[in-house]
Amino acid sequence: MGSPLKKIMLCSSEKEIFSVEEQVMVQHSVIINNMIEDGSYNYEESKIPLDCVDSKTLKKVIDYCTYHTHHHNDNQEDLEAWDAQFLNVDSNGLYDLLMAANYLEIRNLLDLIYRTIKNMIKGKKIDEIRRILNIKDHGFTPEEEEQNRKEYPHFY
Amino acid sequence: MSDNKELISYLAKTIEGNDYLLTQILICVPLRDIITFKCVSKRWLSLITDPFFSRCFATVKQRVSGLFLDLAPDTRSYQEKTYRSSFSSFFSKNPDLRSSLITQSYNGLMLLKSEDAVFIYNPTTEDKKTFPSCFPLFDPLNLHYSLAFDPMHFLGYKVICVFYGVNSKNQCFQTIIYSSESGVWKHGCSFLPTFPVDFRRATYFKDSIYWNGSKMTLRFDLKEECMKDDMPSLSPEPCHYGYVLAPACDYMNLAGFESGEFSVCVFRLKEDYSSPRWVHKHNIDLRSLIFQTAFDRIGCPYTYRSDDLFSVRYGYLYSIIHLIEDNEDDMGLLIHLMDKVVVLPVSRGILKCGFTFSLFDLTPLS
Repeated sequence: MGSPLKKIMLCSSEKEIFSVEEQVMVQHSVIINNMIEDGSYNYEESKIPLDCVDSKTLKKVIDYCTYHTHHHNDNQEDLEAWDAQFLNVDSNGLYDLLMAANYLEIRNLLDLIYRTIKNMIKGKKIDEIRRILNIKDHGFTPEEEEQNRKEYPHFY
Repeated sequence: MSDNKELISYLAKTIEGNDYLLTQILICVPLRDIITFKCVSKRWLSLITDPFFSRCFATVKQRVSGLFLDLAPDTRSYQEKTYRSSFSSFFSKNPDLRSSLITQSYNGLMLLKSEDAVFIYNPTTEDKKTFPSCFPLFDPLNLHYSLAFDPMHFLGYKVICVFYGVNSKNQCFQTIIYSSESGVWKHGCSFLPTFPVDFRRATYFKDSIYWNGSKMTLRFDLKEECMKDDMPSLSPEPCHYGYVLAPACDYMNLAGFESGEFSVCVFRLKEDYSSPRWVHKHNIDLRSLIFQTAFDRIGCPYTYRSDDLFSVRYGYLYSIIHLIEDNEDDMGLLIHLMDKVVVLPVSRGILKCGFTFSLFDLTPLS
């Protein structure tokens, strides 16, 4: 465990460097925690390359971790309100965040996004879900699709 | 931002292509949507029907998701002991099931019994499976079925049938066991309990099936496939009216009326050291509830269970239905009271607040 003031460097897919309090990332990201603990991070030279996370998303991830590190004593309602505001992005932004949270193994953020995506698709008709998630190839044969539409017209 | 479109499709493909992520999202979705979502794509269908999904789903959906009560089709015959299902929307695909009784339900499967057959019914998919008839020689009224289905512990389900008959020389209870994997009935053990046991109402919990007896509960071990007489007796107070066994919060629990008092005791089975024992957990005083809800309805001829001594004795008509998991270590007591079902929180034995659901179906037609 590093001291709270130590900084680590994160590098986005655009090669932009973000400097973050070590404690913030160690608390939230399993991957970064492991890196620091097993000593594979060199404070003088290393930066952690995150090739699949773009700068916009990485900034959001850091915002999330920073806020939740410094406000973990806030009451639940305030935190939830902040989370809702934080995730008020379009669905593309949400997928980016999900991929980043998954890559960095940020448990709280993952759960938050799962719940949010769930709310996006909850109660929706099939055609809407295919549109929201951009599913072009559903994999059913035309006959199967026809059969499903006939059998469950209210699903579509 | 010209490549934004490409990025969207890439990310959508990633989430679509990542089974784990998609499963994690799908297990958060309400059950009703899951049925719809099977038609979204082949990949979704295969994920949802995968055993891994049902295991994940079972760990998240801890709470009881529905309460099914059997209702009498002819509400004027109050003396009937069991009540038939009359949810018009419930058996939409299988209207013939409306005349059957729900014997048991666990983890999303139901065991139904009609006059001449026994079914497994999945209310989510509306699939039903009729069992091969086991022993046509016996009067079906004397066959008592119970279901064991727990996707967390084993694949498939098992059904145990208990009946009274002659085994080589002696009259005793015998068991036959059906497993969904083999698809056939096979003979199990025979036994003769030393106390009366009610085989009509079975409870499944952690690899065993339990039945209420007058002095103690009887346990059928599904791993060894034999009856075990190793349960502790039912607390010092011998007389608990209309008690129920209910697994909740990872323990086996027992809720019963205290004799001569307007309260319900909740016991929990502790399996520490060598011998299990019933530990008294809560006392729930029902008086305020009874006075609140039942005063103006005294004399209503409806009874939930006609063998409920308590209702006869005090003129009140109520019974314990079940204990449900409410929070991590808290339970809710479901009480049937007149034409209502009330959920009482079982915390520290104090009635803080309750939720009442009116069961208008239960009100007799005048």
